[in-house]
Amino acid sequence: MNIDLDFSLMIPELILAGAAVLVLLLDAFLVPPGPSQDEGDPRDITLAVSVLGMAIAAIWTITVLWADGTSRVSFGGLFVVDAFALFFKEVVLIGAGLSLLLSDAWLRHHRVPSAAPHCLMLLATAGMLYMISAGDLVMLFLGLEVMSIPIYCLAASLRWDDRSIEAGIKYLVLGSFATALMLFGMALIYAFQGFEGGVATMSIAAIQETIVLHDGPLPGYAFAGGLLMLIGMLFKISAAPFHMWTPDVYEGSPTPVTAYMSVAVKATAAAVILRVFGGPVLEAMGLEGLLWGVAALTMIVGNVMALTQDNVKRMLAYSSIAHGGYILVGVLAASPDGQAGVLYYTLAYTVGNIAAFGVLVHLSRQGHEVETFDQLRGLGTRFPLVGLVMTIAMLSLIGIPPFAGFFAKFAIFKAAIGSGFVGLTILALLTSAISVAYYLRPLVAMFMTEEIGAPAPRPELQPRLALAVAIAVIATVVLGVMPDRYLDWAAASVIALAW
Amino acid sequence: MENLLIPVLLLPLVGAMINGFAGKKLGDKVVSIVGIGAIAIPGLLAWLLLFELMGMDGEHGNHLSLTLFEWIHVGAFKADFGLWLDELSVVMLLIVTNIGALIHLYSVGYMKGDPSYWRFFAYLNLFIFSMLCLILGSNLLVLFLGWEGVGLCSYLLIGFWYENSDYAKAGKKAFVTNRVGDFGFALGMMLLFALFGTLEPSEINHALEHGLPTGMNPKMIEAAALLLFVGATGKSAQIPLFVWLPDAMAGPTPVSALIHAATMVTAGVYMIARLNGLFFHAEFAMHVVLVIGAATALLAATIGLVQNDIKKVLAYSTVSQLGFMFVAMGAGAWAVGIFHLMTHAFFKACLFLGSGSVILAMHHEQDMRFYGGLSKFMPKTYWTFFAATLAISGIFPFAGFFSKDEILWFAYASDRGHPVIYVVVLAAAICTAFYMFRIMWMTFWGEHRGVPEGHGDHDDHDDHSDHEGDHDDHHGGDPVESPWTMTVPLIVLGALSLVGGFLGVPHLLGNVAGHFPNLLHDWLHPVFQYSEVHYTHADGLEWGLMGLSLGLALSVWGVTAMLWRGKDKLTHPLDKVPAVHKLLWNKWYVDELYEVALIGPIVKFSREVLWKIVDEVCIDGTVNFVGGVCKTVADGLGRLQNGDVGNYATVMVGGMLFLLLCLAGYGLW
Amino acid sequence: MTLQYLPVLLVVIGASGFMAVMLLLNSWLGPKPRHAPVMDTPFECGSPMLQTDNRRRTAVKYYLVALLFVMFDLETVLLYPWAVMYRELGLFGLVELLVFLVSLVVGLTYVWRKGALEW
Repeated sequence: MNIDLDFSLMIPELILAGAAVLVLLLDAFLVPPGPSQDEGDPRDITLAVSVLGMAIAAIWTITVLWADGTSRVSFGGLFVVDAFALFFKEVVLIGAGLSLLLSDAWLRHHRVPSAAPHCLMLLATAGMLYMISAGDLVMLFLGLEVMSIPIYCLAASLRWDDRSIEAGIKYLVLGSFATALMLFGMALIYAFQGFEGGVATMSIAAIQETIVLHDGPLPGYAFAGGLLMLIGMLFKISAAPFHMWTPDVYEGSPTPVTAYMSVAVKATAAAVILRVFGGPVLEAMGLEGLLWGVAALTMIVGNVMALTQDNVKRMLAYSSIAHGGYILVGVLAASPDGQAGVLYYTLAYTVGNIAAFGVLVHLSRQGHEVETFDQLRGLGTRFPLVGLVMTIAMLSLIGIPPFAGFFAKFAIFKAAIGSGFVGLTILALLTSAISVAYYLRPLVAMFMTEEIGAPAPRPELQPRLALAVAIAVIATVVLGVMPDRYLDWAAASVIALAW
Repeated sequence: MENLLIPVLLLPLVGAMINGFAGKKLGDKVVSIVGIGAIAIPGLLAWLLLFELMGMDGEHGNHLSLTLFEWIHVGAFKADFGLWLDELSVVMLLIVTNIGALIHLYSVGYMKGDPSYWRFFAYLNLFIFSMLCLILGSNLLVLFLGWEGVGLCSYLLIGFWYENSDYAKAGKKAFVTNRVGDFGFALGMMLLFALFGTLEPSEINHALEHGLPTGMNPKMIEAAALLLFVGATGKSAQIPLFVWLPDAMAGPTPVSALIHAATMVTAGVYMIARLNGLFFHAEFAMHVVLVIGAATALLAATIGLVQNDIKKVLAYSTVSQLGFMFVAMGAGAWAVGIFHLMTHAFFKACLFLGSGSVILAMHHEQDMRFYGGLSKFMPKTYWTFFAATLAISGIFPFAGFFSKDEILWFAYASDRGHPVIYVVVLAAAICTAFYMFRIMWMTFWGEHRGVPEGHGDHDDHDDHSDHEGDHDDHHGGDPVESPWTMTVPLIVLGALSLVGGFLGVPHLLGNVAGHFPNLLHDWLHPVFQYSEVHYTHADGLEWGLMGLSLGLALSVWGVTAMLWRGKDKLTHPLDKVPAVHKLLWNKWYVDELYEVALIGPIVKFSREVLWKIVDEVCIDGTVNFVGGVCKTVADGLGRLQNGDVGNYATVMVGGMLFLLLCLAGYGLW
Repeated sequence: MTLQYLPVLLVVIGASGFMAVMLLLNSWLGPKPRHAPVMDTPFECGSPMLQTDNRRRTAVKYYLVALLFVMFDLETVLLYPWAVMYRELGLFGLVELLVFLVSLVVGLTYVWRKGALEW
C-alpha cells in the first residue's frame, strides 16, 4: 500500500487546524469560567493566534504554493492543489480573516466569555479549504462536515439570545437535510461510476470523464445523483428554492458570523460547483436548463424580497441570495471567461460585504443592536466616515463603477452573453436595477433622515475592526479602479479547470 | 529629464490638497507659502525643461514624453495617462506657470483678510494642475480631463463669493455654457478615435503629415474639426458661446487675470494649434474658425466701447482678443496665434491686475465714472497699466504691436484669409484702441472725481462686506498705491508688455534690423512644419498695412485726447446716436436673444413635457408600477418565509421534487 | 441488467399492497369502537402506566455527558480496526492514531476546564 502523502501541500490547512487546537487549549487554561473580564483579557492572545494562523495560511498559499504554479495531486487523489483551488483558498482566507477581526470587536461588545468562536472559525475555515482542494467525493464530504458543524455552533454562539439559538437550530436541521441529500447524490453517482466507468472510484476527475464520455443521455439515477449533489451545494450558496434558511439564520446569527457565512461559505460552494460541475460536465449531465431556472429564480427572489425588509441584516441576507444567483450565471456560462468571472465576483463580493457588515458591528453594542434601517437614521451625517464606508460597500454591491462590484458583474454578464445566455443576462440586469432600490435604503436612512429620539452614543473605535474594514474598503476600491491585474489572476486560475 | 514633468504636474495638486484639507488650520501665511511654492517651483522647472528642449537636436522637432500609468485599456481603445512636452507645450507651460506664479503672488495682497483665503489658494492651485493636464496631456483624453478640470475650477472661482447669489449664478452660467461646448468636444474626440484609432495628437498629426490617408473621408475630418471647434467656442468664449465670460468677472480679480484672460480661455486656441494637422486638412472648418474669430473680435470690441465697469470693458476686450487669435488660427498662421496668445497673456494679465489694484484702492468700486486722476495716487499701477494699454492698442514697439499686426497681415495675405476679414479685424483693432484709451482717460488721467456719498460699498458691484479687510482704514480718503505683493507682478508684466514682442519680430522688421530672427516662429516651426499655409509675399503692401494700423491706433489716441482731455464732464461720442449706444450698452441683446430663443423654450419644454409628462407620468409611473409589482411578489413570497423550519424543509423538498420531475420530463422527451 | 431486479420489486409491491389491503379491509369491515382515552394508552389492559407524561425533564448535564460518551465510544470503534491492522500500518498508523487521540484529549481537557464534567 503505497500512497503518496505530500503534507507540504496541506500546510495552510494544517496551520489552521493546529491554531484551532492551540486556541482551544489557551481558552481552556487562560479564560476562567464565568463572565468575561475587561482587564488583561486573554482573548487577545487567542485572537492573535487565530489571526496569525489565518495570515500565515494566506501568505503561505499566495507565496509558496502559488509560486510553485503547477497543479499537484496527492493523498491518492484526495487532495488537489492547483491555481483554481489556491485562488478560492485565498478568497476564503481573506473573508475568514476579516470576519475574525470583526468578531473580536463584537465579542468584546457582547462580553462573550470564551474564545470558542475563534476556534470554530478556524476549524470551519480548514474545512472549507479541504472542500476547495477536494479531488474526491469522500474528501469533499468530509470537508463539508468539518465546515458545516462549526458554523452551526457559530450561528448559535450567543447562547442566551433566543434568535441566535433559533438560527443555529434552523441551520442545523436544514443543513443536515441538505447534507443528507448531497450524500445520497454522491452514492448514486458512485453507483453510476461503478456501472459505467468500469472502476469504482469516488475521484471527481474520473467521474467527470465517465459522464462526459458517456454516449447518449445518462441513466435516470445518475441524473438524480447529479441533481442531489448540486442541491447540496445550492443550499450552501443559498440559491432559491433552497434559500429559505438564509434570512432567518443571517438575521439571528451574531453579525460577524453572518459576515463569515455570507462570504466564506458562498465562495466555497461556488468553488465546489465549479470544480464538480465545471466545463462540459453540467451540460453532459443535462443539468444546464435546471440551473438556468434556479439562477433566474434566485435572482428574482433575492432581489425582490430584499426590497421589503426592514432589517439590514435580513436585507443583506436576501442580497446574498441574489449574489448567489449572479454567481450561478457565471457558472452557467461555463466558459473560462465565466469561470474567471465567478472567481473575481466572489473576491469583490467578499470585500464589499465585509465592509457592510463591519459598519453594523461597529455601531452595535450589547443591548443596542443596530440592525434596522430606522436605527441607522442620521448616523451617516453624524459619523461621516462610517457613512462613507457604507456608501462604498453599497455602491460596490449594486455594481456601480469605480468599485469592485461593477467589474465583477461586468465580467460575469459579458461571459454569459458570450456563451449565449442573453435572456438570463437581461434578467440579471433587470434584477440588478431593482437592487439599487434596497441598497440605497441604508444610505437614505444614514444621510437623508434625522435620528429618532435621543442620539445614540458615539461607538468607540475598535482598531481591529477598523483594520478589517479599512482593508475591505481599500480592496473594494482597488479592485474597481485597477481590475486588470485581478481579472488576469482569475483568468490564470481557471486554466486549471480547463478540459 | 522627462521625470521633471512629474513634479511640474503634481506640485500644484499637492499644494491644492494641502491648502484644501488643512488650509484652515495652517493660517494665511503658510497657505500663501504653500500656494505660491506649488506654482513657483514648477515655474522654475519649466525653464529647465525649456533649456533641455533647446539642447536637443532632433531632425523633426523634439519632445519629452512620459507615461505616468496605463489609464484605460478597453479592447482597441487605449489611453495612457501620459505627458508630452514639445516646443508648443513648453511655451504654454512657461506662460501658465510663470504668469500663474505672479498672479498667485498678487493674490496674497488682493485677497488679504478674506475669510476663505485658504480656499482661494486651494482652488487656484487646483486650477493650475488642471491647466497643466490640459497642456501636457499626451492624448486628448488627458487634455479633456484638464479641459473639464479648468472648467470646474473656473466655476468654483467665479462663484467664490457664493454668498452673493448673482456671483453664484454667473458661475453656473459659465459652467452650463461650457457644457454645451464640451459636448461638441467630446463628440469630436470620439469621431477622431473612430477615424484614427488613437487620441494622441502627435499620432494624429503624424498620420496627416503627408496629406489625407487614403480612404479617409475628408468630410469626416471637417466634421471632427468643427465639433472640436464647438468645444473651443465654449472654452474660449467665441460666438455663440461667449456670453459667460463677461459675467465671469464676478470672480475675484486675480481669477479674471489668470483664468479668464491669460490661460484657461486660450485653451481653445491651444487645442487648435495642437491639432494643426487636423485643422490644416479641414479647410471649411478653418474658414468657420476665421469668420467666427473675426466676427467675435469686432462684436466684442464694439460692446467694449460703451461699458462703464472697468472689468466689463476688459472682459469684452478679452473676448475680442481671443477672436484675433482664432483669426490667426483660421488663417493658418499657427505660430502667430500662439504669439498673440503669449503677448495677450502679458498685457491682459497686467491690465486685469492693474484694474484689481485700482478697484482695491477705490474700495471695490468698479464704475469708471467715479475714477479719474488716479495716476497721481498710484504711479506704479498707472505706468504698468499704461504700458499694457499701449501694447494692446498696437503701438510700436510694445508687445501687442508685433503680434496683432502679424494677425492683420495674415488675415489679408494668407491663402485662407480674405480682405474682408482684414477689414473687420482692423475695425476691431481700432475699437480696441478706443476703449483702452477711454479707460486711461476715465481712470488715470484728468481730475479725481471720487465716489459720491451713499454710493460705493452699497453698490451692487460689490456687496461682499467681509472682503474689505484692512483697506477699511483708507475709506473716504485718497486712493493709495497697493502693497508690494501686488505691484511687483504688475511691474514684471508691464515690462513684459513692453519687451515681450521682440520674441516674435516679423521677418520684415527683422530684416531691417540686420536679420533679427523671429525667435518664437523659428522655435515653433517643427510643430507646424507639415501644416504651413501659403501666403502672399508683398513687402511693400505689408509695410503699408503696418503703417496704416499703427497710424490708426495713434490717431485714435489723438481722438480720445480731443474728446476727454481737460473735460470735467464725461460724454461719450456715441451718446449722440442713442440707438447705437443702447444697442451696444445692451451687448447687442445677445443674452436677451438667448433668453427668448433658447432658454425660454427649453425651460417651458422641460417644465411642461419633461417634468409633467415624461418624468411624472412615464418615469415615475413605470417606477411605481415596477415597485408595486415587486412589492406584491415579495408579499406573496414573504408568506412562505414565516419562520417555520418545517415549512422551509417543505419548500426545499418541493423544489427538489420539482427539479427531479423536470429531469424526468427531460428523460421522457 | 435492471430486469433481474424485477422480481424483487414485485415482491415489495405485493407485500406492501397486501398490507395496505388488509388494513383497509379491517377499518372498513370491522366494528367501529367509540373513542376513549384509555385506547390511546400503550397498554390497554394489564398494568397501569407508571408515568403518563413521557416528556420528563432530564438534567441538561446528562446530554453533555452523553455527547462525550458518544465521542469516546467512537474513539474505541476506531481503535479496533487499527489494532487489527497494526502490523501492516506500522509506524505511520501509530502516528496517525496518536494525532487522533491527542485531539480528543485536547477536547476532553477543554470540557474539563470549562466545567462541563462537574455534575
